[in-house]
Amino acid sequence: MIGTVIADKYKITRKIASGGMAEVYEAIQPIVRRKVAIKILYPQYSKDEKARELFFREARIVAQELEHPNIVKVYDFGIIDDNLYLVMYYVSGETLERIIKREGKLDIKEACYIVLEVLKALDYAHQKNIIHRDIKPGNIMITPEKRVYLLDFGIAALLTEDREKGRVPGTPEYMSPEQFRGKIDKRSDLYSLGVVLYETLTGQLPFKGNDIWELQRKIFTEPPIPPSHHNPNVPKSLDDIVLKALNKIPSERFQTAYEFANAILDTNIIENYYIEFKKTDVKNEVIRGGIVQEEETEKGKKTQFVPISDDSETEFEFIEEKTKFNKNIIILVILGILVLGGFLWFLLFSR
Amino acid sequence: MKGRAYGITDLGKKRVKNEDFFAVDPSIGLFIVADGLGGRMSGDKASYEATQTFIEKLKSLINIYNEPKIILESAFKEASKKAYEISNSDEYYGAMTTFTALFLYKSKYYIVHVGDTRAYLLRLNRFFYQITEDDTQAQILVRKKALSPKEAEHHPSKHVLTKALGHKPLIRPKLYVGHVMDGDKFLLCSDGLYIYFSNDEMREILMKYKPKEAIEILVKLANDRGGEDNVTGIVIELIKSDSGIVSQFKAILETILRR
Repeated sequence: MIGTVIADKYKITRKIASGGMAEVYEAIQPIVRRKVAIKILYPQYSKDEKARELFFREARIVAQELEHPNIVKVYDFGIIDDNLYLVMYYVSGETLERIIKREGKLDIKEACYIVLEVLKALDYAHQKNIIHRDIKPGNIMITPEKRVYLLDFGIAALLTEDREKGRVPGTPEYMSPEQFRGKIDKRSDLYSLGVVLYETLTGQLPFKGNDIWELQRKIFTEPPIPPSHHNPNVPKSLDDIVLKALNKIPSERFQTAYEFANAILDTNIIENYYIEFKKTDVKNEVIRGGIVQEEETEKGKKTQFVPISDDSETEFEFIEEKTKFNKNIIILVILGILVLGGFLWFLLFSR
Repeated sequence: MKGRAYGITDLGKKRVKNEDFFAVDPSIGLFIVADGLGGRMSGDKASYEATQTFIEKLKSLINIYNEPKIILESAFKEASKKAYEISNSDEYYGAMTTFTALFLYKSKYYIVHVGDTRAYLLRLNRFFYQITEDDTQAQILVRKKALSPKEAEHHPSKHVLTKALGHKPLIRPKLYVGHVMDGDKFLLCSDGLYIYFSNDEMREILMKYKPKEAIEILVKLANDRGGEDNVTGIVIELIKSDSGIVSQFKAILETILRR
């Protein structure tokens, strides 16, 4: 696979991971000197025309609509040799899953910080009526600079293969009761995030089972053990938040990402953290510039300007393909020789 | 190379319309500021269209040519034509715009420029200077040695543009090319911003703050100090330039020789 060129554009450089439904590779797009991540779904997901159509439709929405500093941007997708693939901006870092596996529970401030960052992304997407459907530590990336990104939006919905077999898309340990029944809304995302919060605070999952039936039963009927039992550092205010997020009845949970975030901020566990949740209703504003985004219209590609995010700078990175033999090296060598020559001349002739 | 940028455009305190326009395209390392004028308050159309045309043409060529100068020239030509079209239309007659675009590519920066929007560079957190030369009446007098640079700063004709997109069918821009090095910070801005600051002040602010905070402070201060015109600026910081030793050496040389 390494060295292969996908769709004439992307050159695979290494494998990053193998997952439940796809393999993820790192690649370069030489023409724009950009590092990307390509997710290639296993062949069973592109079996029929309908599945592909659904994939393309969802991928298009996600790629066009989601532009946010906490969301990994998807900007290309397609099909190669019967495999569906997605191209995303490359983000260096570790998934929360790896971090928890390695460190167990996290500091409560860190846990809250990560959840707040994900809530920013969810608030944005939910306002655009996009539900993630598969919130879990494996889909949360943390960079060395402590930036938090949410990956794989909506992908779980694309997997009709699972649905046909009676399985519901998602990762069971993180799924809300209603998700097992196939009914999902924005609050299901918040429930799943509650599970993530539980896991980061305690190092373990709120509900575990030897098989899917036991797990499902516990999720439906058993109340979770409060996080403070596993981690005495967790204050009661945070316990209450986790339990509210994990409530089995959707109307008893946090109704919006905004509500969830404010509850965390009110505990004062994190100081000096400013979130602004703004309405993404930017059509009313006159946009006098911003970040360039390409939009596909019937007439072809059109350049759009998206307001620059309020939260952070826009980053850019270009990977130059290293030329084997640099003319700069020649110059350096010549300079070196000249310097050496001058030194020798000085030694020999200036007496 | 790796970097980050942040841009702001602000109506200012005294104007009723924002005729400035700015663009940040992280996918190709392109940053643009354009200050629209004329045409009975329709300068905003000119700055927007010129910028959009430039970006679209540039992106269509970027996969075909390897030489930035060709691409930039071609994109600018296209923008120039479009601006002229608009300037001659009934609805937007007389609308024009300045144009300053920064393009980062393989250890070098390329600045395509016309008008009195400016590009500054802060290097090694020490050397701060204006890269572009204003296309203004006052600047022409300075070139002709009729005015000293200091006098030009207060001369009435410093706001009189001698060149702008939309003015003629084909405008020849100035092209500035140089090497980049780690830590370089660029400031692109319209006159509504820079008239309120001395070079030293701008240097201090760029030195101390990250791009987002730096431009927020600059815009806020410009408004506090009068905000007579629209205030627009982009701060670009190059965290890692991928420039080899020789390129960095050339970069430093360019900076020292400029002063």
